[in-house]
Amino acid sequence: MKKLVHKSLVLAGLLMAATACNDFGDMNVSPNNPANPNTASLLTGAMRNVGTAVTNIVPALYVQQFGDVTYIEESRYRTVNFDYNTWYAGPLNNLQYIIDLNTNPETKVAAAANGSNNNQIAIARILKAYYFQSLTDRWGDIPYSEALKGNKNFTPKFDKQQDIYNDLFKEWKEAVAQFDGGATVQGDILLGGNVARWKKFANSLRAIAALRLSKVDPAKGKAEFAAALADGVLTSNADNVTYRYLAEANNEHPLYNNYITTNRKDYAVSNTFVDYLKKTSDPRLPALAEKNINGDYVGVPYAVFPVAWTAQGVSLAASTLRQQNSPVNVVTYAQILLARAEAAKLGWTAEDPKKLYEEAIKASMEMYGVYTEAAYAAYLAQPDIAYNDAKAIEQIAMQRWIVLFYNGNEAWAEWRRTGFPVLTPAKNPFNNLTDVPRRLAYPTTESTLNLNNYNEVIARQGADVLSTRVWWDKQ
Amino acid sequence: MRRLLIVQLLLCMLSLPLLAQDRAISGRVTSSEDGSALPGVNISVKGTTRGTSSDANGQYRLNVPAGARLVFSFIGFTTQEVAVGNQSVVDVRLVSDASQLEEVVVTALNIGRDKRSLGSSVQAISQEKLNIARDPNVANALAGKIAGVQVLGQSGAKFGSPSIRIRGVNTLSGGDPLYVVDGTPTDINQVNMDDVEQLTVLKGPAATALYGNRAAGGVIVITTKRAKAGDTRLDINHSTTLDMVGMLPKYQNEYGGGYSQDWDTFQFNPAIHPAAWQAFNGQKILDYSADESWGPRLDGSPHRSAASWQQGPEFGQLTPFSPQPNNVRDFFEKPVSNNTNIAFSRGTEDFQSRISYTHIINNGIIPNSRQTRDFVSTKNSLTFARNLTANLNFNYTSTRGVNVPADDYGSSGGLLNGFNQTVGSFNQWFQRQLRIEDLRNYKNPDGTFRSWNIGGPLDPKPKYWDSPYTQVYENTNERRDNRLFGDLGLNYKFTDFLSLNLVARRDQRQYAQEGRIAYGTLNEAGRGGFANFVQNAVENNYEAIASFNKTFDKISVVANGGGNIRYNRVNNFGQQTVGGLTTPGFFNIAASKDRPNVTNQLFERRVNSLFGNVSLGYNNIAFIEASIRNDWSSTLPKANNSYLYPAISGSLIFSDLLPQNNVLTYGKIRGGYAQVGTDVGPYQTALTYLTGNPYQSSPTQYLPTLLPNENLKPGLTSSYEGGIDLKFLNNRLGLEFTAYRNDNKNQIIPLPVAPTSGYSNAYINAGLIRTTGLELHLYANPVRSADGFNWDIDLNVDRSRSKVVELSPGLTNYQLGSTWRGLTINAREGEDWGLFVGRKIRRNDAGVPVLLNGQYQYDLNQPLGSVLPQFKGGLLNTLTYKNLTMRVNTDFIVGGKFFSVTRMFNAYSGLGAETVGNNELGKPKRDPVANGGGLLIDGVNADGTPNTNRVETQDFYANLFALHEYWMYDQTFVKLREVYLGYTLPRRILGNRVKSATVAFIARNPLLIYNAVGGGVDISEAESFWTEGGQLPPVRSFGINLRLGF
Repeated sequence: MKKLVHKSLVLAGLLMAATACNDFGDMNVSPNNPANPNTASLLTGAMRNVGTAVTNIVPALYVQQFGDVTYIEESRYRTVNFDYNTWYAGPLNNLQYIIDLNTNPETKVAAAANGSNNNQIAIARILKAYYFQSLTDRWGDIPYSEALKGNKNFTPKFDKQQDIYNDLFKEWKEAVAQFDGGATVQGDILLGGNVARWKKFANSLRAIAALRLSKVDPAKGKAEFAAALADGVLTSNADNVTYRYLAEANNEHPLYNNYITTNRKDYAVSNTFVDYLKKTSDPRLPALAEKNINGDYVGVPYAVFPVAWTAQGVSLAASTLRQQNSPVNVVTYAQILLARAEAAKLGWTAEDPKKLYEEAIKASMEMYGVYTEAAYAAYLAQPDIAYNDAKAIEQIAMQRWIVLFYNGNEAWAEWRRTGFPVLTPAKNPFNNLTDVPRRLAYPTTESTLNLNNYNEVIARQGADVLSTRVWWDKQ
Repeated sequence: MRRLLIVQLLLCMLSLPLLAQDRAISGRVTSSEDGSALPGVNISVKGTTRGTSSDANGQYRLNVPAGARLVFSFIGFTTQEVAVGNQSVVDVRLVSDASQLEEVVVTALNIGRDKRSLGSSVQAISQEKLNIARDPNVANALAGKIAGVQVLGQSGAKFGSPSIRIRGVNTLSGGDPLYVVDGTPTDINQVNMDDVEQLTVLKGPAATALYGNRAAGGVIVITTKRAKAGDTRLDINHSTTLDMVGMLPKYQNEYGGGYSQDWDTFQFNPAIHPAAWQAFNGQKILDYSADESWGPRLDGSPHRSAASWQQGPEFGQLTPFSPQPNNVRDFFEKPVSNNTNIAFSRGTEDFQSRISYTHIINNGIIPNSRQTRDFVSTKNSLTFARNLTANLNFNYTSTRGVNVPADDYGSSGGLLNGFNQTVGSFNQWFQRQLRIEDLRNYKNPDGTFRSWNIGGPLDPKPKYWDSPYTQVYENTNERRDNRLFGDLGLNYKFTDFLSLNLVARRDQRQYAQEGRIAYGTLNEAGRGGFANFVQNAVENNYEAIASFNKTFDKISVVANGGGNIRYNRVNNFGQQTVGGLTTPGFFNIAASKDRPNVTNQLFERRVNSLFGNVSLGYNNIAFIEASIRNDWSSTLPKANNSYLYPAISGSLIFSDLLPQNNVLTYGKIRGGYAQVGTDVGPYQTALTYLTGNPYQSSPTQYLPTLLPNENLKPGLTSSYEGGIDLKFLNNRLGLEFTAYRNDNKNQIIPLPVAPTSGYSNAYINAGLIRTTGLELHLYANPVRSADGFNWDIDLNVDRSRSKVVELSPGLTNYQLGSTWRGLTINAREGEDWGLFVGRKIRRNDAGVPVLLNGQYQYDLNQPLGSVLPQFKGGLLNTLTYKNLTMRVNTDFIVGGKFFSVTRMFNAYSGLGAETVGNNELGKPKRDPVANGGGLLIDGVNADGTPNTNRVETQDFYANLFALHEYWMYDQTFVKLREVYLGYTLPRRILGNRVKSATVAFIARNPLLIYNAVGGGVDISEAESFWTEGGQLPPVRSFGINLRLGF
């Protein structure tokens, strides 16, 4: 009996001892995800959002390139609070991480397996600045200098848009200078690690950003524009920066997804857009819009509710630009020519605005594959289209509206800056908005998770509504 | 034992002289419940020390003096006195006494304890009160029966399993209790209802501390039936129910599909239409692509339905545009479901064994859906050499779900779980005039699919919806869940007061699910799809517990000490086709058009524990108990992975100190304090990188959006409770009242942080949530008459308030969830937990809405009340009259807010009855404002003048979309959950072979007596505790139940 007690206690003791209570070895090391980063894969991941930045449909609805077909919502300014969180806790954080991994002495050697540290940092900086610009253009003041710091700062303050723009110019400039002759960057699905093309891309972004200051700070704009131009911008359609979607479901074109995959057909080309192109007999119309079931180009009536048509009765976006693997334009030569034309017209450069304007139309027709000498000549011969120095700013803006078709963020920013085309705001709008929105309101997480900074930015920038203007959008 | 025999012998000898004058009587003691034999009943002759106990067959034999009265007493039964008179055979049927049954409760470590000695709040329920109406799910059957327990149910249409909350909010995000079956942690939904003997809810941490870090949300302890020594039984329990849809929204039947009341007509166009279609020119057509019902009035006029543009005999036919008030109701089936249990049990002194098998066929109210369940269990105990007992308990549960329907908003869902194309359509996006026969004809002879929601006459592709029948018959899914749990144990008794228990426990799950989307249907671009998911999960527990139980004079000592090693391993494998199927009808990952998505995960964790517990009692009047436990968790950083927590409680039976009286039979006060430590899931301490979909041959990698934390510490719940238990008038009336406070501190939560930091959530130790509450369990026996009428009442009421005292420095809000356009539910510092924040109707100081152009305006991000109910509870009535027993269970919630998506879309899409009828001018609401139609909203203009602007009804509801305040309701409901009306057949007609027989009528969910939400929404079966996105209707069941004992 006693023996048994003894044995049992020993057994129990052994049982406890065998657990070695607090030592669990590698049990809490995840076998499900890699513990080591790969900067090439991080870069590819961050670049998959370039297409998302371009194809954002809401601003394309605001500028009436597109209209809602069935649910007449964003064309009537339904949503107020828009989400930018997926950009920060997403590609921006990943790009910042690539920069950190290539900077930190402990990780930069391993990171260099995917291209020279400088080249990787340069590409990440250019792209990060591009994303940040697309955010500040939409929301105005945004977290920038204190953003992306992880647990060092869970409540980043909002930076003034002016300060952000100053830093963007610096980033693009420094990044271009940072490229070295080292190994080519791996994982670059945008430009294949081609340094020359990255430099042109960065300089072109800088030029476009410079022009954004035409009203608010022309002196700064002029200086930055000239410097960017001198550093070398896109010089032909071959230089166009495009994001290529793929012929597979995980990487498919968003309009293909909306029209074909889900068969929703939520958006069609708006009557504002179709009617203007019809009025000017624009040869680009078939490249942008599709005929309806009856064989006519009929833009969807913009922001009319309740609806009295079906998707079959209106012009969807042209099938040529919405195949599953169609590319989308990030920055194009035609866009740069129009920027140069406007800069020239503003007297920022000594170039000839008329020549640049006409070249832009030609480049754009070539880009859409509809250029013939006759069509080009006929189009230019129209009184509304022929260069008219007195209306040059408007004419350039109208062309930009067409060139930037389905690049809503940029089109909306340029519309806000120039005021062209002159748009009739939605009738029967939500949120009592009597005019086209001029910014997006912050995501609700700012008021719930970052309230002090949120209150501060509202006090500075104005009410957090769609009608408040951002800094460069001077009246 | 030997000593006991000697005593008996001595007693016998002492009584010897008396024997001559006595006479022998015999008899049998049985249970009034089911006629079964009651062994071990104490039978004494009143006023003497003489007595005996019944044997294994309930038989007894005793010599009694003339004029003696016999007293039959047995734990769990009402003591009965019988005058012997001239009888020589005295058969007695004892009536079970629920208030007594609850006296012995199984608490922590699977140890049965006298409830008297417990200082913490424990409420038990016996199987007959739990299993009233043969609900196949133990958790569902708990609704309303335990104070402080909330059952968050799921619709029976999807065979849903509820989740349970004990004492409200235990953690920032809710907190499931731990379920323990015969000592083995498992899932309550895998437990066979017919195996349950007793269910005990351990509410406060004082009772649960010994269960360790998973017990912070309370513990539900289930004890299953075991064979009794000396008893041989065969029980059959069968029920058959007729199931039907419980309720549906009130639909309108005045207008059909479309966005406009104006008829469209077919315009023949020779360029695009076949020449034969010229005959159709001018026919009335609809906007078939519309999935709303703001269309033309249902005036019976001939029109072309969507079906008339598709293949088959209906092509080209004109049909009257007329109301179909029962189209949705007719979709649902009225299936018959069966539930059969057979259980064998036999016990001797040394060997007890029970074998049980249950088969359930649960046919769904959604066509082609069903669930079959098989439960096999056995419970065995073998005693060797008096001191050594070996136990083997084994439970196998196999569940097969076929075409389990999805709920939630619209046609949301996925490849694996299917899409909600039933109620998501009927209640949210539909054309009211559709004929169910047209929908039932969902497939063309050539194999293509028909839809009511097509692009137009020339575009038969489904726009937003397939036919609901396509979903249920073609887009099928299947789930197989095999669960095995049980234990293998050895118990050695060193002496009668010291024993050692060694047990190995396992809970194992093998789960496989697959879902199919047929080629040519709406989703997956019409190219079909297939997905599967397999989970293999194991939990092992190895425990060693030494137990000491001895009374020294007036001091009783119960002590337990030991250790436990817990190991969990979960393997997940998921696969999904991308871009469609290469071969229609071939549902296999190999058929994926593009590179399939795959997941492959392994999660492991271990928790080592040592614990000890001592309870001291004085004279069976005063008790004090202390526990301590230390856990080591593999999931915490090594520096912080050890945590110790204590519990202490005490109780005093003050009634024993008072003079004997006829009013207060029993009185006890109790109080306790305890802590429970908590850990975190695996792999939350170190940064790893996520792998995304590749771009061509370039792989992608992402930082997680949830930032891990290498400095996490264990969380800690501190709990205080005090209570009083009273019994009056010889147990005719009793109550248990408890007040408690739980402080949840330093919980490990994925705290949402400003995503501009680069992360949307970060693991941190945060917060202090304070939950205070009151619980009352009241029972009464208002009628107990000599002629056999008995009425028992159990009333449970509780109130629980959770407040967020603090979160984390600089952070004041923790978002728990969000839905439609910025409605959030939050834990906000200084506020009640579960605060809704969203769009609120703008009002002036007098509370009158301030309108613009006749419409409501709203302000964003306004507080809209808390989800927490004011109070909740349940009422269980048991009435018996001779052989008749009736049980009626009702539960209720009062107060607390709730958001209904079904109601919002029901109105938005013009489906609900509220969108039609006449306005205050007596004109149809849907007539244009210009003709006197439309709505005039009560309110004022900006300048304070009364509103005179009428608005179009369609505009009114469009404007109300996502105006959250309008669609928030009180949760208040009163629900009749279960009804049982049974007749126990008299023994005399049963013959020799049958021991007992009961026939009963049963009903589940027969009636929602009061429902503040209305509109066909039953919040007691919502998908989440704060909103429903498109719930399946409740299921109402009526049936019969037959119990036979052999």
